[in-house]
Amino acid sequence: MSEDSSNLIFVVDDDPNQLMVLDRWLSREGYKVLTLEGGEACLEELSEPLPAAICLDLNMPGLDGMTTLEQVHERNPILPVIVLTSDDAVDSVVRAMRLGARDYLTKPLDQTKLLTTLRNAVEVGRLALRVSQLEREVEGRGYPGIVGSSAAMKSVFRQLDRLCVSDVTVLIHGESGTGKELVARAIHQNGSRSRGPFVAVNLAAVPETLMESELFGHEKGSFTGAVNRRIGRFEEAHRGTLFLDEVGEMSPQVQVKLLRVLQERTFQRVGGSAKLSSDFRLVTASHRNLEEEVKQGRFRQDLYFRLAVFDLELPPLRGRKEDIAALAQSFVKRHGGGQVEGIAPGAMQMLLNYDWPGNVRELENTVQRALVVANHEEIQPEDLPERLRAAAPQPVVPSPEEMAPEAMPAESAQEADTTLEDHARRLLLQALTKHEGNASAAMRELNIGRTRFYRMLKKFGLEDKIGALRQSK
Amino acid sequence: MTEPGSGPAEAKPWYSRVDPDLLELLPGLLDNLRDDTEQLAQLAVAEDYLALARLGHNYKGSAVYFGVEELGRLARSLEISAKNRDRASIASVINDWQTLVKELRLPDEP
Repeated sequence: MSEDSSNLIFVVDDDPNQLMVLDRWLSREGYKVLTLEGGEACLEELSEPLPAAICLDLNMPGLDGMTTLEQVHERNPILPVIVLTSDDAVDSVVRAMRLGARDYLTKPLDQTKLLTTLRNAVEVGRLALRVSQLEREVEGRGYPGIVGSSAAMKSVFRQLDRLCVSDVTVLIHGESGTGKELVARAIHQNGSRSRGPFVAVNLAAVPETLMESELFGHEKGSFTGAVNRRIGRFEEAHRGTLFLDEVGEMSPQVQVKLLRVLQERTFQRVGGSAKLSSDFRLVTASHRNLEEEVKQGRFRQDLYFRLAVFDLELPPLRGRKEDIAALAQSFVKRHGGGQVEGIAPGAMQMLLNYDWPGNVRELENTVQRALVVANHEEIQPEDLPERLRAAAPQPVVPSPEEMAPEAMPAESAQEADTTLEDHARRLLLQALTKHEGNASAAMRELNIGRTRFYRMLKKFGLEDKIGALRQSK
Repeated sequence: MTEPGSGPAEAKPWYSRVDPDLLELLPGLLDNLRDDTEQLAQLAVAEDYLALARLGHNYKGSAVYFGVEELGRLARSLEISAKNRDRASIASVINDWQTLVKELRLPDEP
C-alpha cells in the first residue's frame, strides 16, 4: 500500500444517507473516504491504492455484502472489513465473521463505536501486513533474485508486499531487462497461489497463427498438424498464475480474444465447442507504454483497464545506480563458481559509469562474460567489454599522462597499447617503475592482491623487474 | 414545526435532536427523504414489495440521523408490511409517512 492510502476507507452501502453521514464522520477524523453504492463498485475500486479498511453494508441489492466480503478476501485476505447490519440480522453477522469480517456494527450506527472499531481495524490491518512482511523475511521467502536498496526499489518492494497478499490483476511495465518476469514470479511465489503453476508466455515470441492454440489449446484435428488435443495456457494456469509477457505486441484480433476471456472467464479450445473456465491470476508485462499505445489506437482501452488493475512500474537501472554494485556482486556470486570472488574497484567504477540501456539483464550478461575471460580473483577493467571502457571517464590507476614523464619507461611511453594485455602490462610496469621496484607499493597503487600481482608479473615476463629496479635505486 | 409527537408546550423544532455534527448535512438528507417519499406511493401501486422493504430497511438504519424517532418506527413497519405483502398496512404506513415528511421543514423553508 502506498503511504498516502494508509487512511483510505471504503464505505459501501446502497443507502445514500448512510454514505453521506459516514463520509462526514470519517472525514472529520482525518480519514480519506471513498463512498461506493454497492458491492460491484467496491470490487471495481479494489486496486491500488488499496484501502486501509472497508465499512461494508450486508444488505444491498445486486452484489450483496456477503458475496462482496468473500470476493474482497479472495483478493486480499488481510484487508479488514467491518460489516454494517441491522440489529435483527444475527445469522448474517455470524456468517460474515466466519467469512473473515474483522468486526460488525449494527444500525443505527453509533459514531463513537464506529470510530473506535474502525481505528482498531486499521491498526490490525497494518499489523497483519507487517507480520506478513516479517514472515517473508524470517522464512527467507523475500524476493529471490530481486536485488536493490535504492528508493526506487524500496517502493517496488512495498508494492510487492501488497500484491502478494492480494489477487488483483497486475500490469508490470518497464524497459527491457528490468526484471519483469522475475517480479511476476515473485508475486506468484509469495502469493496465495504459490502451490499452483506459474505459466509464462512471451506473446512476442508466439507466431500470430499459433496464438489461439497456444492460449486456448486445441482439439485433435482442429487444424493441419493438430494431431493431438493440446491444453492451452489458460487451462494450464488453473489455480496458479498466468504471466503474459509483452502484451503490447498482441494483434488487435488477439486483444479481442483475450478481452473476451477476461470478461467472461470462459473460453473454448480451437476446434472445440465446450465452454471451459480456468481460475488463474493474471499478471502481464510490457516494455511499451500501454497508455500511449491506447492513445495511438494500437491497444484496446477496455483491455488496458482490465490488465492495469494494479500498475507496477520497474525502474531502469540507470535510475538506480546505487544498486549496481550489489547487483554485480550478486551475479559474481551466482555465476562465478568460486573461481572469481569479486570485482576490482577499477572495474566496478566502469560498471557504475555506464548507463545500462539493457538494464539488469545487460549487467548480468556483462558480468557473466567477464567471469569467462577473467583469470584473476577479481574481475578487472580489462575483463569488461569495450563499450564500458569507453564510458569510463576516470581510470582508477593513473593514466600515462598523469604520471611523471621521468617515471615512465621510455619504451612503453612511446607506443600505443594494441591489446588489453599490453595495457595491463604497461600499467604494471608503470607502477613498479614509479615505486622503484617496491612490490607492496605497486600492489597498493594497482589495488590488487599479492597473488594476482605475482601472477601478472609472471604472465607478462616482468619477474626480474623488481630486482632490477631495486638495484638501480 | 415542532418535534412530531410532542405537545404544544414543548416548542423545540424537530431538528433540535439532530446530531450537531450532522446539521450541515440535513438539507441533503431531507432531499433524499423527500425523493424517497415521492417514490413510496408509486412502489405501492406497482406492488414492488422488494423495493418497499428495502426502503423501509434503509430508513430503519438512517432515521436516527434526522432526529425523528417516528420515522424509524414507520420504516420498521414499512419493511415488515412489505415483506408480508400486506397492502392495507403498507397504505397506512405510507399515509403516516407522507404526513410526517410534510411536517419536516427547515428554518428557511416556507
